Amino acid sequence: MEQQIIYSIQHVTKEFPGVKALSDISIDVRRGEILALVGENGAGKSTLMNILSGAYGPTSGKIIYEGQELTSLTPDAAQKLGIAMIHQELSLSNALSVAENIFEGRLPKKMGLVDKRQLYSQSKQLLEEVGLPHLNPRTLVRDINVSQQQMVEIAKALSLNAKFLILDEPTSSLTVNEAEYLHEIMRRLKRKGITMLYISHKLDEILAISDRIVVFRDGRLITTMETAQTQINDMVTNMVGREYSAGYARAHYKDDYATARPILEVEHLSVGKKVKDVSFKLYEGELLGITGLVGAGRSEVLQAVFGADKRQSGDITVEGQPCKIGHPADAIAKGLALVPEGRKAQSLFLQFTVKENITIVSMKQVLSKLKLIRRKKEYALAGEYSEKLRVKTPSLDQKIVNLSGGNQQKTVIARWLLNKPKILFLDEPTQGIDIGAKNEIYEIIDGMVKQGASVIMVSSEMTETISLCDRILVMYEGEIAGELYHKDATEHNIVTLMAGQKLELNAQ
Amino acid sequence: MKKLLALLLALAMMLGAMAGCSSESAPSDTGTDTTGTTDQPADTSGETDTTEPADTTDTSTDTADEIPNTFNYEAVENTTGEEIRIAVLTTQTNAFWVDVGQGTEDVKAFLAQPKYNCTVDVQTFDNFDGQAVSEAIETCITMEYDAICTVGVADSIANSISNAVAAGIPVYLFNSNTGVENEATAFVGQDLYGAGEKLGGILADMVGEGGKVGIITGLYSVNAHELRRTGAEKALTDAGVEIVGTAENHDSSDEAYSLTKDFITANPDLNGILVTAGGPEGAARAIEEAGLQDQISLVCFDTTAEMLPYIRSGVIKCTLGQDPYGQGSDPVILAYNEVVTGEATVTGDAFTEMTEYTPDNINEYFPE
Amino acid sequence: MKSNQSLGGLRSFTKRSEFSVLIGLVAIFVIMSFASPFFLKLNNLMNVLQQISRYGIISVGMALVMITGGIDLSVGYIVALCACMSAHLTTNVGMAWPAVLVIVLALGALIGLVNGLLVTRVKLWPFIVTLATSKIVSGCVLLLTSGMPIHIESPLCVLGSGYVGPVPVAVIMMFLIIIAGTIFASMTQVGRNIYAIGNNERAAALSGIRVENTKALVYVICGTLCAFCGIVVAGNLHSADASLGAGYETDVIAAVVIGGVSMNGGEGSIWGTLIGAMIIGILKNAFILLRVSSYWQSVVIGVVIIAAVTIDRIRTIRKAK
Repeated sequence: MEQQIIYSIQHVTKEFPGVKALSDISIDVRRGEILALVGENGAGKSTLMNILSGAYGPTSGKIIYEGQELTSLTPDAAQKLGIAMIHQELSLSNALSVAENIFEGRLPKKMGLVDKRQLYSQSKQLLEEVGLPHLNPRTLVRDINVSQQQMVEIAKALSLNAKFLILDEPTSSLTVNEAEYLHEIMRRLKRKGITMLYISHKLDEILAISDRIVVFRDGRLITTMETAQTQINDMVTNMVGREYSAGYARAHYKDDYATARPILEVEHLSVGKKVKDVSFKLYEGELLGITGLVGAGRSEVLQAVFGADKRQSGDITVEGQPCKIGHPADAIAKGLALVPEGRKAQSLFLQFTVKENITIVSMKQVLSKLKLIRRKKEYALAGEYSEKLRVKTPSLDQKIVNLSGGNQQKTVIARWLLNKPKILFLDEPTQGIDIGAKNEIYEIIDGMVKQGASVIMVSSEMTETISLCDRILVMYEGEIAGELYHKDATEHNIVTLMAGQKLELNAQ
Repeated sequence: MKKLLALLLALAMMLGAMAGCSSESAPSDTGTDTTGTTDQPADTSGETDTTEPADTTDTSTDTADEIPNTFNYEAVENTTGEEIRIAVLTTQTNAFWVDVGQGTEDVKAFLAQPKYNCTVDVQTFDNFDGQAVSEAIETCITMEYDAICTVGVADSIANSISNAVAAGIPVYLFNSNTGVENEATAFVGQDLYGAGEKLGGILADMVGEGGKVGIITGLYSVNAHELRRTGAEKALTDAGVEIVGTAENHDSSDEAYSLTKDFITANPDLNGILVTAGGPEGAARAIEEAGLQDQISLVCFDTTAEMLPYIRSGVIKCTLGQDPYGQGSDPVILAYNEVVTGEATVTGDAFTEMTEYTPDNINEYFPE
Repeated sequence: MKSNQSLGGLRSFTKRSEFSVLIGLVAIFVIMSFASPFFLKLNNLMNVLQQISRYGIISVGMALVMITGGIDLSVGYIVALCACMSAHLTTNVGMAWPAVLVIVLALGALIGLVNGLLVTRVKLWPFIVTLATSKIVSGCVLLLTSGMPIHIESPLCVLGSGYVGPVPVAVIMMFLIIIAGTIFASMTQVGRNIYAIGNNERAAALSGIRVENTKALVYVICGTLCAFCGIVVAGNLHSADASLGAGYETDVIAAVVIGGVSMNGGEGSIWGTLIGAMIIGILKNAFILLRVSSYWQSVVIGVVIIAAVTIDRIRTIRKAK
């Protein structure tokens, strides 16, 4: 039988104000195939999924489903056509039963009341199809595990007679066994003629389950490959290799590791399911980067060492002395500092002024003998650091909410510098900041290291990580997948480690 | 910010407007001190909303329509040449107070006549809050009233009473007296302890020695209720009656209802219930619902409209009156007299009549 | 670096929320002076201040609690219990007044600590916690007094009924406490931490602030101030009974919110609550001076509270934009 094209994407471009998310994408999805979509963060995968499921339309180009061109597709209309999206964030109602979730909004009725017999019997059938014949449809969703919840989502899609399933990072919260189970079900569905679009960062999984692979980079479709003829390396090579800006070139990168003294040692750190037995050292005067995919556990490492979150295990040694860090106050006393990610949620006091945001950690320095705040001293101190970091603000009394993102971030950094920390943790320091401010911050960080501070920087940005760091730890699924010195820090190597693959350094 | 300003000013103006058309308090205050609409003769009848023609300065009202004295005391003529102002602080927790309020309204209309030239301002409180009344007395002192009549709601007002007297303002208490000594000129109300004793004795006669009764009292913190309760308990105990329990009903008939049901449940052979304050109709309802009016004798105080049917039907076996109308009106007359003459004609306790109402005689007083 | 000039200081003052409430207070004051000839009498003004001193003292504590984003509904009952306890210890137990003072203040602090610990360690909502403790405390008052009033004569009564010239001692106490509260909130490290917690609890913790301890502390302060208020009230009436303190929390919260403390926490000043308390106090005084029926009183106070909270909401929304 001839292979039919179920969904044809023709020269689709999508632009948002200031950003071109997709450029001239053309793909023909074959009926009954499992097509994998890979690419780094920001490559355009989510945008395409949203267009295919009707969340928004393309700026230009056509999408043709089952031979019909779809203009102004909405999620409802998509659903009726049999297009279903299984989101990364499951959208089930925890307090309702499995059956009620599957038939949400379409509960079978008899004489105005819910027909429970129909509801449960139909649900049971669907659950069998997704490989859960023993799951009682009356069970509440909150009482089943994530893997089962995912199956329920799929069952829901099937109940809507979905012919085209889009699965967005479906295994990100699953164990290896559960992932395999999902794949089994997918194969079963494939045998029934259902087409699936599979997005994942886990390159080995993609090799295991997909028929074809499409690689995105920077909004463009780079290549389409037959899985049977592909290897990990091929995927990685296509995913990376952009022209990247020079980043920030430091004058000097640390190379005296042989004689370097560790200023911070972390051993056997475990935090829930997010960080599994991680051990590493930070050397004096080093700029250490930690990178990895979202959910790899990077922020959790920093926050646990800083005492901000509880940890199940982990020994921390600062300057050779073991310490107990149970609260950020302990960490600060030992000379640590943390600039967390998500400044709005975790570092900014939005109702405070710039001055108050700067001095909050160092209040002791501005107190008089009577323990009262000395206004002049506070202004002077805040002013000094605000100038050092070139924070642009009309006055120190400006409410910080009125500053730009970059200046807000600089204020937070100023806050910690005021305390003269020995060890500084930075978590996504340039998130949401324009390129000009980014460079200023890189200069600041470089300056700090020059003056003898030791820095750990968590970042998702490849350029930033590669160009700034003396050494990079790559995390994968809560563990340290690998370590790269500046000379070996290439995008290729990092992406390979990020995806959980082994890296042969000599090969590159 | 401008909006805030406007809102607050509007709020304040609304307050002023409400004061201008405040209903029950003082329609005749146009005579004295408000914002300036007062100088017109009474043709402009916009403000006043009661019927009496008191403010017309030039028509002769001495002739017809003179309001009769329905009170227990005579009022002297006002020879001071000045208007007299009296403040009355009263409560309104239940139906009993309607009768008291009627007395106050009547005496207010009476004294407003030109012969007496007296303004009576009434402030009502909806509970026995000693602090609130205390503060109100202080404010009355500031407002330079000539006399203050108030319910003795709690011991905590004793201080303010002393302040008033020290400022030259005589104070009269009615309905309830404070437990501690106070400097009021007189107390117009029931001989509370005596009334309690009398009612206790009446109930003891009905149930006999060894009988079981429950006591429902208004509030422990109200001295009036306490005096009645302790008086009744003495009389009952002396007669060998067993008191199975005492509880507060806060003057509420609903609470009296629940408490009575509880008493009956806990004591199936209950013989009597004595209610010291408001809400006895609730107890009556509970007894009637249980069909136990022959077994349980209910006695209480006062004769509100809600109670009358139960008295007539015999569920309430006896109730003692305290002349609520007199309580609402007599202290005002007495206070007025003291202000005019400079001497108090009545001091100390001015006990009101204590009529015994029973199913047999009720229709004489309250014909159907 | 640019610091604010004095003219800039004046401008920024007018932008503060307290400024608009101050205007409201002045407006009501002016209107009342015309509406009643008795309003401006020294006697009356002192009375009003005396009556305000009750909530004024507690407002300082409530403001601190609300700045951290919490609330304390048990204030009135703590006042009642402490008033009755001070009367009980003085009259029935015969204790000397210094001991009574210390024990009663400690009692208030202890109840505050219970509130604080339930909120911070057991992590229950302040609304529910303080609602529950208010029930417990009111029960304790009845157990202590059996519903009867207790008389009190003691040197401590001067706090409630004494005068320094024409000024009641209670009013002086209130002003002292407000000044102390203002200094504490705006000029100490703990005060700054309190605002930080109300602003962004997570960021406060990451800045090294012991969030739980500080949050518990504000409840202790509130409880202690309520205890002090109880002594003042008992001293004022020379009597304490179980009906005291009822409804205080409404007036106090109204005063605090009108004065500029946001329900969301993180902002507002202590001296602003003084303005709020004055507005409420003058309104209540107005009722009696203008002989407004008591039935209207509840309505008006309710409207004022709604207005205050609405204004607070509009302020919050405007700021978020």
